[in-house]
Amino acid sequence: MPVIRLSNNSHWENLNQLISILKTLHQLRDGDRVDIDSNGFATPFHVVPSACVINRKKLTFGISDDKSDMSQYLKIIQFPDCISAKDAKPGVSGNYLPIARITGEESVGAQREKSYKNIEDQYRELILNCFGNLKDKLSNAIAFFLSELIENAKDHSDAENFYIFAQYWPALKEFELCLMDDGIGLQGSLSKVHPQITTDERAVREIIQRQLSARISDIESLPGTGLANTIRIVSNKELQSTFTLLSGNFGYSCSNDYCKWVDLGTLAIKGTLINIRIKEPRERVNIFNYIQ
Amino acid sequence: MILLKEKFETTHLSTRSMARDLYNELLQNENQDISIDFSGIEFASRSFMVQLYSMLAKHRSQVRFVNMNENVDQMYQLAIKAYNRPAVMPSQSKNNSSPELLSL
Repeated sequence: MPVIRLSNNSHWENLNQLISILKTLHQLRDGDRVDIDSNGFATPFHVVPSACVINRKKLTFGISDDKSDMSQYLKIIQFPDCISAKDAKPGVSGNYLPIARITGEESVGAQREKSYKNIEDQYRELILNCFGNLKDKLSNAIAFFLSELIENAKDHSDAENFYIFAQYWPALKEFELCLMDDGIGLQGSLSKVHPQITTDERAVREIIQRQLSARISDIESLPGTGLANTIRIVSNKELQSTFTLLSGNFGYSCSNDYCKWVDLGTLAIKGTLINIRIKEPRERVNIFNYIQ
Repeated sequence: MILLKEKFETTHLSTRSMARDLYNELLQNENQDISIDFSGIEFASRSFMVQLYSMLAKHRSQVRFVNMNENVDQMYQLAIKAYNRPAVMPSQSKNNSSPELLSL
């Protein structure tokens, strides 16, 4: 029986661990079972992509110790089924939010626009109400991340499922936000209007380095700055941030201002994953010092 | 006068489609002296502002923005600058990057 271990170490170790988890899950056939090691430590960076694959492949999962903290935590956050944003409420400890998801009829037609706006409004309020320390210092930054990243997913991913999950650790004074969709990825989106974008690597590089956008109407031929501006904000040294973007088999990841391209080799994730972890700053973050 | 908080039932204006809805309402309004009231709006996303400003500028529309808080006003100023930036097309060269490559 394959076992996955969720953990929290340095950023680069966490990234390696995520790839290991995804490789294990991708090797399973639809309907297979996977076990989760109850001794680990779950963060959104590992939980969201795991939920995404488990749901897509209709895997069943067990946990080695059903009475463990890990087991209780996964139940509280509604892993892996998740919850509709409108039903999401803070967890019993005050520090836990459930994973919210847009799926099924919510993700198509006229309802799609409404669902994505709803999840943005609901989850922003949940984050700021549940993690009160962040309200004064990061409300603008969180509103910015959610508005830009959720709008991108809605407009460009063609996804059937969209996931969002946030966690704040009071002892560490750290906040993590993870968003993932199971859509066509950055390459799929860009290639609709730029057919020369044929690989995930090219798509990620064009978006990060040159702010290439899939919007090309006469009014909307502006650079795609949502991701670039997000990276600029989290590059603020006081936030001691990590940032990761993965799409298909390529990605980009930063720990503070040290950044790397990420080649996933033969592993290709379906859709796009964005994860941000930031340290609670001492002062209010003024996003207008960073965005363009 | 268009009250945005009432129209969209939110304190956060975030999507391009909201900007398009607003613009369409402006087009249908025969009143030449129309104001958009941002009372109660806490945040306007860059996407919303750029989309709205782009459409208004393209069609030389005359509207007045009132009751913007500091946040919203700063985003509006940013949208004006963004509108004048050139479009981006794919590069001709590949892999012209500086960060190192991490193979996993």
